[in-house]
Amino acid sequence: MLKNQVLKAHDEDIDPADLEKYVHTDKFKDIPHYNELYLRNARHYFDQLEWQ
Amino acid sequence: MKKTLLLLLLPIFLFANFFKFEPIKITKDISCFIGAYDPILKSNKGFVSNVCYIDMGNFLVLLDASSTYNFAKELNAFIEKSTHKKIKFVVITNYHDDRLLGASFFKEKGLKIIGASNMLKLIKAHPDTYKRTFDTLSKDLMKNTKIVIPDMLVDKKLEIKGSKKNIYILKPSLGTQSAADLIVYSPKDSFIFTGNTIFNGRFVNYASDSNMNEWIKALKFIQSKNAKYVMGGHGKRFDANSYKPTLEYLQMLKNA
Repeated sequence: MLKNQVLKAHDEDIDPADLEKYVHTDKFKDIPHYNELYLRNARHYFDQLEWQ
Repeated sequence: MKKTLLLLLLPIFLFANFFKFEPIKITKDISCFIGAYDPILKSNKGFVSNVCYIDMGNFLVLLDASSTYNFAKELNAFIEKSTHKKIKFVVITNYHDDRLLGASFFKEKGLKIIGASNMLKLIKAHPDTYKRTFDTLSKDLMKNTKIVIPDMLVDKKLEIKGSKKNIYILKPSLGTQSAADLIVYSPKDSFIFTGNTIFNGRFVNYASDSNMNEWIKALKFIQSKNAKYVMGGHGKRFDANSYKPTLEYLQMLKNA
């Protein structure tokens, strides 16, 4: 579902709240560099889906 | 008096090392050095990814070479002093600056550098990867550091035979965090070194050239080996389950 939203409106930023429904932040948020990377990781992955 | 003092201290400054090594012993034949968890910064001197060595009996194999010629030179001296053995092969588990650039020291010594068969193509395609290191670290520290290319290329599997054991350099899938990621498996030690296929201590970096399905496939391959010791390219965990956080995160992202 989230990936479809991203593909439809890929110019917009990913909503962290949407992403957190799927990627459990409680498991990862204390790992160094989580905040810098989690949205960027999702963008890279969804961009790849767009090209497929 | 001041001049005498300066002259006495000069040799200390001239021959001072950049690095202090604190190895972690994994097995009797394998030791690892744990890199800092941050990106390359002046404060960590570019030592941001794990480096290990395996004692093959009649020689050593080094797994990754960090970011600088000076790191590799000092590490080589430290390992030779500790083991009384020589490194013969250097495996570089991907094309990134933090693993490859230190290989410039070993290349100069004439050692065999091992990398994935697509590494040269990726080195050429990502010049900024190396620029950040040269821009960040001091000229003194970066002295003699160069981009080098591997001498031995791995498509899927390469076996290195030593007097005590054989190890395998493997490309477990088409690509993981990058398209050139290799892992190193020593069955006799029940040990796998995974490079960037496993992140611990710092969050997984899913890059623009990462491959979700192939990365998961590689992690499942690692899982299938049931190795007692699994050391990632980042972080100090080396237990059998150290692959799980990376796998779990990738599966969550894939299902989002």
